[in-house]
Amino acid sequence: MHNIFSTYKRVKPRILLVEDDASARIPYQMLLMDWGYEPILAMGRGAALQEDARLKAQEKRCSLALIDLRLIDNDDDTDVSGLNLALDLKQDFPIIPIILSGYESVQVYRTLQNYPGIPFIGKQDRRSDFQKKLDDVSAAVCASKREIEFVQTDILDEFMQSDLAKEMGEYPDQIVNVLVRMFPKAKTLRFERLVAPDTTVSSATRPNSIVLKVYEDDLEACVVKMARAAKIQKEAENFRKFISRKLTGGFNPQQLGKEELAWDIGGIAYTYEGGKNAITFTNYYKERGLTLIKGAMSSFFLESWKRYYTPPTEEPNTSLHNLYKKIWGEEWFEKCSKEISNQTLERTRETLQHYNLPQPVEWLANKIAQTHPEFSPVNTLPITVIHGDLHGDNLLVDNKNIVWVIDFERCGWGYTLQDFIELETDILSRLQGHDVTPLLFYKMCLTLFKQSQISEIEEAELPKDEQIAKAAQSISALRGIAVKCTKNANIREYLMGLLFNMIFKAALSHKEDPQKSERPLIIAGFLCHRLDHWGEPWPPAEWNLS
Amino acid sequence: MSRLLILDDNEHFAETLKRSIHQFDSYESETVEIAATSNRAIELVRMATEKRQPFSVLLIDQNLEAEMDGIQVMQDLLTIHSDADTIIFTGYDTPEDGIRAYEAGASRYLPKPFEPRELEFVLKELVRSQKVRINEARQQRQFKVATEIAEAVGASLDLESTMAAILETLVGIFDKTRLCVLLYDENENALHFAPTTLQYYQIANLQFSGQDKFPLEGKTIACRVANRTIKTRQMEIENVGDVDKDEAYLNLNPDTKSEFCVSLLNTQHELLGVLAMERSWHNGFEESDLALIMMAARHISLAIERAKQSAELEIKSFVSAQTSWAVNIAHEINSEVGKIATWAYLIQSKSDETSPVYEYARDIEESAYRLAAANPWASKPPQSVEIDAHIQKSMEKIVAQKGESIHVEFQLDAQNAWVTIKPVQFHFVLKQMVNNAIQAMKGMDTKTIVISTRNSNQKAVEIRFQDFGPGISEHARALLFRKPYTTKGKGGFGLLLSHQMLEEMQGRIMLEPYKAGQGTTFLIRLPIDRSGQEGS
Repeated sequence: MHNIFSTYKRVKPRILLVEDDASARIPYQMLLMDWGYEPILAMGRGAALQEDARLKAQEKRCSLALIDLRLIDNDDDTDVSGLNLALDLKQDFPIIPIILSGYESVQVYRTLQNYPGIPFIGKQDRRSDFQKKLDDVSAAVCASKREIEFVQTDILDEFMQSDLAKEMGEYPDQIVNVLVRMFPKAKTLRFERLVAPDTTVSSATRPNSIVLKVYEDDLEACVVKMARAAKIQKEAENFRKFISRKLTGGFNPQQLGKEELAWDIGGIAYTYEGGKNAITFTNYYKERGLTLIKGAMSSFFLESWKRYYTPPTEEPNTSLHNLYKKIWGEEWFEKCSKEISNQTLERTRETLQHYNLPQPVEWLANKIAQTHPEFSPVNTLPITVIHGDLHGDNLLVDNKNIVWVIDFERCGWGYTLQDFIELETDILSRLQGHDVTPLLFYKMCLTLFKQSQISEIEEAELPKDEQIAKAAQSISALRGIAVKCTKNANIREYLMGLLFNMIFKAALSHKEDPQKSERPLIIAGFLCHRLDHWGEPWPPAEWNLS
Repeated sequence: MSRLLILDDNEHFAETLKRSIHQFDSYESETVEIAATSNRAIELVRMATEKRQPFSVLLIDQNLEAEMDGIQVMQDLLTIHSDADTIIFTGYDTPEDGIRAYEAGASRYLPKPFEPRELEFVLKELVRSQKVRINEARQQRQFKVATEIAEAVGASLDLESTMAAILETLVGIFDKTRLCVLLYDENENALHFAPTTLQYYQIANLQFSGQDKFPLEGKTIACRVANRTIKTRQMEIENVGDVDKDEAYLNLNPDTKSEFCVSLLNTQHELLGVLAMERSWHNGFEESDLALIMMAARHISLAIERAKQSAELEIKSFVSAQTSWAVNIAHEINSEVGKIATWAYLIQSKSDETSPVYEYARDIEESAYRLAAANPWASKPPQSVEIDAHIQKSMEKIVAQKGESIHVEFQLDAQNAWVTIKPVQFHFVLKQMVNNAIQAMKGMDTKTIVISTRNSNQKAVEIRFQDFGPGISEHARALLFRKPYTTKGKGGFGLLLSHQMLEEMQGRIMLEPYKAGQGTTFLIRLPIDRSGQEGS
């Protein structure tokens, strides 16, 4: 696939032409071509013409539509079928309809005045005026008709290889068009990574979406997310419902303009007023000491998100499995297990067998199949509004140590402790890094899984080895914050959540790099054992990890 | 304060009673009269009622002169003035007489002798119960008036018949009252008699006969109310108890002694007109009347507003029905123009600029645009023009086209006023005016049209078109802008279209009142465009 950022200026905007008078189609088609557009002709008469218009618009991912006002009866001055089609297209599709008409009575003017969002061009308008009107409308939605430059587009390279980008096939111009729509006045857009590159830590996996900093001309940066159109729509809804003017503390994100949706892709931008020089929690975790890390986590959970923890609601007939199904679909687990290849499972086998641990994917499959109480729909979990995707790249820490959060696609009702579990998972599987020896790492996990209720872990119990002390202490602090926020100390539930999330994480990162899923799988194995032998001494005496 | 009448053949007793009443501390009487005979009493009650100063209490001795029965006389007096309270006093107190007195309508039955204190108490009681009665009666009357006016208003949407029905109702309710409705004309800033109002209101003073316009700069009580209403945007009233003491009063009727005016407003709080009422005695409008009249005024306002809206609606729907064929033609032309212009444009873009085909195509393209622009419905953006220069230029063009012996006399004096017009539509209107004039002066050797302009207080420009034909008949005048008008037998949409086009330019067209030997004068008013003037 060619890189749209180097070719967009040559992409002709696709414009749907809907005209019932066949003798007029050809001259208008030629006119549009002459002006640098790719006309897409709707064919047929009456209802068939309108149906064809809808099909072609969709098929060719048109940005614009030029529609004759009278599509049914040229002699009927009440025929405004073209306007109705325009309104329908506008409502159902990401398309800008323009009405073309020779009908210029006072009534028509008054009717069209009721729809200020629908531009109007008179058939008898001077061709140069016609072209100008059309180009003006296009400039707002099509990058090729706009004087704009994109700078440092290489950071989008990875995204351009995603499934989403590939699905756009012949119409990748949707990506630049969405950006143009989001920044209607921009002359240049400069892109920057959110996470400073760090060789020891990889970025969090974001399948089919990208979050980055965008500088519009000489303005301060804003944070832009691009993803499938439906997801952006969901994100915008969630932002308005749960985030905008809802969170407390020094955290104050605002949506910039409105979310913009093309056929396949959408974009949303936020300004983080006051959140200057913010860095991701991933970078922050690497660079700062424990006190600051603890402070940052407290800032988010105890300040920003505070309102949602009091009081949590008990939701009957809910289990973790059900909540996962709600977010990821009925088949979430089947998809996860398919994602993890046999080779990967083979590579973990030795370690798992060494400690006599079950293979976690199988283990979970059995539990689900037996509808074990914890997986059955009759279980009851405390729920609250959660972020739903809380990893180190979705948290930003500014120079006043105030924590900002981004990416609201999965915001909504979920297990009260889910956000803590996700951050813990991220620390264990990613932020900690992979340079620590397995033995040390497993030792730390055993300590973390030993608790009989959620709390900070005794200083004396925590491993002292420099390589893992930070992770262990951070997680200990995180659990302290968790119980403080939620008043829920049920560690068994928490560990179960951790198990689910580890398997989920393993599946997610497998695609990117199968090796990355090994450690989460081993951790999951330990968790299975712990849950299977609840009430027995931990760790089992036969494991000698010293 | 009460007005009392004592009927007793014992004059000494009556005089004593009168003195006592005047000395009561807690009962105030305006006047106490004495009648010694029943005939005299009847005469006094009748006179007082006619003068609208009726007695409120009648004190009647049961045994009158010549064995006459006081209870019987009381009944006669009550037929003249039923609102009065009556007290029967008697020296021969029997239960039967008491019952008979009450049955005949007496308010109290008082056996003699009685203490003055006792009478004072009784009179005070009567005042109290009278107030209650009056309130009840007033409410009933208001309800009746409201119902009747509402019925009159609801009966028709047409201003003339609605107004007639309202006036009819009001005259029935407010007897011995002269009333009229004056409508406000914003353009002239004056009050006019509403249509049909002159059937109910005559001007007796010959000095003012025939006057139907009252400019708001002038001094009349109605104008004062109107001016105040324009400022406050609220219903305003004027209750003048003695018109001779009000210097603003315009003496249309010499026998008028008091006048009451109330302004009429539409729902946007704009002045619609004034309801004026006159009575032939001083302080003719009492508290009890005011609420009633103000309520009537609200109903009249509503009726006027509704009638105006329906008239507008009627003309709009009529014009749009009559002109849709023209719009269809415009559509056809524009669609074809679009195709031709596109082909011509494409030929130009593909050919060498110096080639004959390029030039040819360019000419075709331009012609196509001109064709589209030539129809009067083409929506060109409005334009600010210096009106005198614009009229002069347009008229010269029109006259040249006509090629008839038309003599246009310009009296242009708009003082450099600029107005915002739609040029194509405005040209259509001017042409229409010329056509009308030519038609009116058919057969005359020289057809003279006088076009004059006037700057009306820097607010509007008045353009007058005068011809010297026979003028338009009274009947036709009424329908002029409401139905197609023609002297040719068919068509006649020109004035309707002109009306609509001018309205779209925030302007108005009307016909000046007929003056013998002066032909017809159309008056067009267009608001002055201040920004255009400054821009120049």
